[in-house]
Amino acid sequence: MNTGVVAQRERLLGDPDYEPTLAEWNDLIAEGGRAYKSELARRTVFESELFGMNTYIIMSMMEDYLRVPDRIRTISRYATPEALVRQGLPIGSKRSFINLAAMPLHYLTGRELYVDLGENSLDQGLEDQLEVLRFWRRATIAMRTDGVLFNMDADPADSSHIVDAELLSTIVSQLQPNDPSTTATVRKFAARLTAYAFLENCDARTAVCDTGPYDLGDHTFLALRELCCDADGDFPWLNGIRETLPEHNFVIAYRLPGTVRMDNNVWGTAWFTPSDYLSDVLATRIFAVRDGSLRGLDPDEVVELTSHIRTAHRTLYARLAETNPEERNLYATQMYSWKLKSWARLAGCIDEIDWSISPSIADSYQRFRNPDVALGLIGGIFVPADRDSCFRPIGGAQ
Amino acid sequence: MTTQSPTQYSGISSYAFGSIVGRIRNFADPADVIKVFDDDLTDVIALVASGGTTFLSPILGRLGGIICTSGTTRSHLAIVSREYGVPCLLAVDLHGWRPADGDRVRLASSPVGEGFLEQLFDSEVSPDPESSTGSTDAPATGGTGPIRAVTAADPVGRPYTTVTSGDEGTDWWNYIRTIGDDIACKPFPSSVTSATVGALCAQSLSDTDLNDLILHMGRAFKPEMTRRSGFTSEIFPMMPYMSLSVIEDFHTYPQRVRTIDAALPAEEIGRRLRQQPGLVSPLWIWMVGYHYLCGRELLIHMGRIAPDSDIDDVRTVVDFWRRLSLAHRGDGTLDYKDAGFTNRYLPDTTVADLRAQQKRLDATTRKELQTLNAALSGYCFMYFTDSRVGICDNGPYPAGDHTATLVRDFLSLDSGQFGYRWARDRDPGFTGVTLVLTFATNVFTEFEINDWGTTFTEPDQFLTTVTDAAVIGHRADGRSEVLPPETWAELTRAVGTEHLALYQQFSTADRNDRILAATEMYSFGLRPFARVAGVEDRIDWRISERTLALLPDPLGDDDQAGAIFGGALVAHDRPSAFSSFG
Repeated sequence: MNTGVVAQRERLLGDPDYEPTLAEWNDLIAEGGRAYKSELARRTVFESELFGMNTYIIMSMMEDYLRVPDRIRTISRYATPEALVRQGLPIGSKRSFINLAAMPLHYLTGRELYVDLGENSLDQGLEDQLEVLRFWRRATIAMRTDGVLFNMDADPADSSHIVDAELLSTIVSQLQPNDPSTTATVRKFAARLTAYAFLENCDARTAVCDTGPYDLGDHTFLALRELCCDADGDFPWLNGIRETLPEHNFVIAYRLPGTVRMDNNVWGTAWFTPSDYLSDVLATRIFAVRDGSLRGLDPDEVVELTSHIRTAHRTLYARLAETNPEERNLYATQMYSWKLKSWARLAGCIDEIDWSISPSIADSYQRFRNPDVALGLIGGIFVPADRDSCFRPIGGAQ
Repeated sequence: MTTQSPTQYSGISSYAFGSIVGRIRNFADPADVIKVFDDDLTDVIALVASGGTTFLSPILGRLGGIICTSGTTRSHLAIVSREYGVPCLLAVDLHGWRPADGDRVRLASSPVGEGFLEQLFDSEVSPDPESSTGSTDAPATGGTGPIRAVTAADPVGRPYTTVTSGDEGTDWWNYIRTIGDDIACKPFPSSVTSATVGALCAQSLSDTDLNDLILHMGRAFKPEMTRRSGFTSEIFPMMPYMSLSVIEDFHTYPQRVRTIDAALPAEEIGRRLRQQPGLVSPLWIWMVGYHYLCGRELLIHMGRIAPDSDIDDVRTVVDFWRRLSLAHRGDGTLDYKDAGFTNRYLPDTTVADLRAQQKRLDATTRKELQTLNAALSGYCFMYFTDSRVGICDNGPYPAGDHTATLVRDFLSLDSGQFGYRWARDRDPGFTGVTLVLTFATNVFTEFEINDWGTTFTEPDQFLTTVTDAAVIGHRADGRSEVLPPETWAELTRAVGTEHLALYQQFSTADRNDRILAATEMYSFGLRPFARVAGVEDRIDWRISERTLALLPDPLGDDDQAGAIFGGALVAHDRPSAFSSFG
C-alpha cells in the first residue's frame, strides 16, 4: 500500500476534521455491516420470554431512523462530540462505548427496515445519514485510544481501548489480589448486577459494556466491564426501584494472565477463552463511579450492594410480570431509542428534545407484534442472504 | 401414540461445567418464576424455551441448572449462566419428549462445548438419610442393616453398608462388582477394614477379577470426566498431551512396574509413603492405574490393539496400582469415591501432631493464608503444565466436636521428585508445603474430595471457613518445619517469583515443545515410586518411539486428539470408560 493511501487511511480513521468521501463512508458502513452480520449469524435469534425482542428491535430502530439525525443536530448546537467525550470519565456512565458503537448500527438498521418495507428508497436521506455518521465517527475518534473505528481493526484484532495510560495506572494500583473468597464475592456481585442490568434494559445488553484487553506489559492484561444502571431517572418503569440502589454505575476491573484470551466484538461484548475466566483472575476490584470519579469498593460494601440489587431485581421482575405486553414493548422501544439521552444530558439540552416515541412507531406495534412477522423482517436485515453486509450503500451508490 | 424416545439428548453447553444431576421444573410464564422466589432451588433444573436472560433472572443464580431448547453460547442466557457458574445447556433437541416437573435428569458438558441431557430413572441404591447420625465412628460388624449415609449435619461422614457375606474378601469383591448410582457411588462394606488390607494385597488377580476391577475403575472414572472438570489450557495443548501421555503409559508401564515391584513391592511402597504428609500425592497413585487404562482405551478406540491384547501386562500394572493404593489408603478402599469422597490415610498420631501445630486465624492471617494458597496453587499448575498433579487434599479427619481437618499438600516445588527439565533451577526454598486446615463441619451441606484430590464444598468458599491452620514447609533434606504466619507473605512472594520464571520459560517455547513437556510431565508418573524402590536410575524415562510416532498425526491436532480422547473414554453408551476383555 503506497504512502498516499496509508496517509488517507490514517486521516479517515483519526482526523476528526477530515470529511470522508461517499466511497469512504460506504466502505465504513460495509465494514461495520459485515461484522454486525457475522455476529448476528452466530447469535441466530433474539429471545426473551418477557419482551418480544424482535418486535421492539424493529420499532426502536425505525424510531432511531426517524429521530436520531435531528437529535444529533440539537446536541451539536450545544457541544461538539469531542467535548462530550471529554466530560467525565471514559468509563462508568451511560455515555459508554457500547452506546456509541450502537449508534450507527441501530440507525442504519432502521434505514434498511424502511427500505425493505417499501417506504423509503436506498438513495433517500443522505444528509441525515451523514449527520449521524459524522457524529459517530468524531466521537469514536475522540473516545478510542487505539486509532481505529471498529474493534475488528484494533491491535490485537477484536479489542477496544478507551482508557488512557494514566487512568489505567490508577485502576491497576487499586486492584486487590484474587483468592477464593474474593472470586466468590465478585462473581456473585457481577452475575447479580449483570442479570439486573439485563432486566432494567428489557433483555438488551446495552448497560453492559466491555473494553480491553489492555496489555499491562507483563504477560497480563486488564479487562474492564462497565455495568451502568439508570441513575438519572430516564426509565419510568424503574420509578421507586432505582432509588433503592445506593450506587448505579460500576466498573469491574479484572487482571488476567495472557493465557486467557479476550475477544471483543463489534458492539462491545467480550468473550473469554477459557469461558470460566473468573477462575484465572489474578487481581480484581469493583469500582463505583459517581460525579466523574472512581471509588474502589471494599468487600463488605460489595456484599451489601449485592443484596440491594437482589431486592431491586425481584421488585422489578414482579412489576414487569404484571405489566401487559404492549406496555412492556413500549418500555423496551423507549429504552433502545433513548440512547442519546446521556449525550443530551451532558450537552445540557436534554429538555430541548422531544423524547416521546413517534406515533407511527407506537402504532406499528399491532403490525409487528406477531413474532413470526417480526423475525422474518429483522432476519432479512441482520442475516441477509443476498449480501455480506447488513447495510447497503448510502447516497445511491452501488 | 407413543414412540420410542432416546434417553440422552444433545445440545451445547454454555461452559465446561462437568456433570450435574437434578429435577426438572418447567418455566413458561413469569408467574412460574415468582412462585419459587423463596424456594430452595439447588436441585432444580429449569426447562425453558428461550435463551433470553430476564425471564429466569431473579432465580438464575440459585438454580441447579438450566435447559433451553433454543439459543447459542452467545445467547444472553448463556452469558449470565456463565457469570453465575450455573450449568446451562442450549439448543437441546428433546425429540418430542416433554419432561414433567420432578423428572430426574443429568446435564453434562464435554471439553469441546457439547452438551448432553440424560433422563435418569430412580432405580439406584440411595442412602437412607433418616437412618444415620452421620457418625464417623467405627461401623458395627456383622449382620444386616440399613445403609448409613452422610447427612447435612455431618457432611464428611462416609456411606457404608453393614450387609456382609461373612467373608471380608468376598464383601470387597462384591463391592467392586456392584454398579452403583449415576456417578458410580455405592456404599462400602463395613466388614472391610485395615485388617483386611494385607489379605487383599496377597490375592492374585484371576482374569475374572481383573475384568471386574477394570470395569469398576471405568465406571468410577467416566462420570468424573464430565462432572466439574474441564480440560482447557492456553499454553499446553491438553488433548494432544493427555492422549500422548496415557498412550505412553500403556507402552512403558508394564516393564517399569516390573522393575519397581521386583525391587520393592507396591504394598511396601504404599505403606512407607503414608506415614507423613507431603511424601506423595494420592493422585500420583491414582494415575498409575487409571492413566494406564486410559492409554489402553485410546489404543483400542484407534484400532491399534484389541481389548484382549497384552492381558498379562494389564494385570501387572492394574495389580501394582491396586496393592499400592490399598496399602497407602490403609482401610480397604481404593479411591476417594469408595470412601464417600474422603482419604484418611495419615495415622491418627500424625494427624494429632499436625493439629497441635495450628494457630487460630484472625482476619489478617486468614487473608494471608488464602493468598499463599492461591500462589502455591497457581505455581503448581504451571509447574505441572496446567494439571492438578502437584496439589492434593486428604482427609477430612474428624475431630469429634463438629470440626474436621483437611490436609492440603503442595508437592515437588523445587527440582522435585520427577526430574523435569524445566524445573531444574526452580527453588522457592522448600520442596513441598502442607497446609493443615481445620473447619466446622456444620457449615457445609456438601463436602467432597474427588478422586483427583480436589475439594468441592457447598457453600463453596472453603478457605473462608477455616478457623485454625498451620503451614508446614518440607525441605529437600527431609526436614520439616512449621512456618509462622509472619513468614507466609514472604513465601508467597518467593513462589510468585518462581511462577513467573516458569511462565516466561513456557511462553517462549513452541507448541511442539510444550506438548512434549506436558507429555513428559504425566508419563514420568512412576518416578517417585521408582525412587522409593531405589531403581529410578535403572529406568529409561524418555518418551518411547512408539508414542512419538503418533505426533503430529493424529495426536498433534487438537480436534483429532480431542475426538480420540473423548470418543474412547466418554462419548459412548458403555457405563464404564474402560473396555472389558472377556
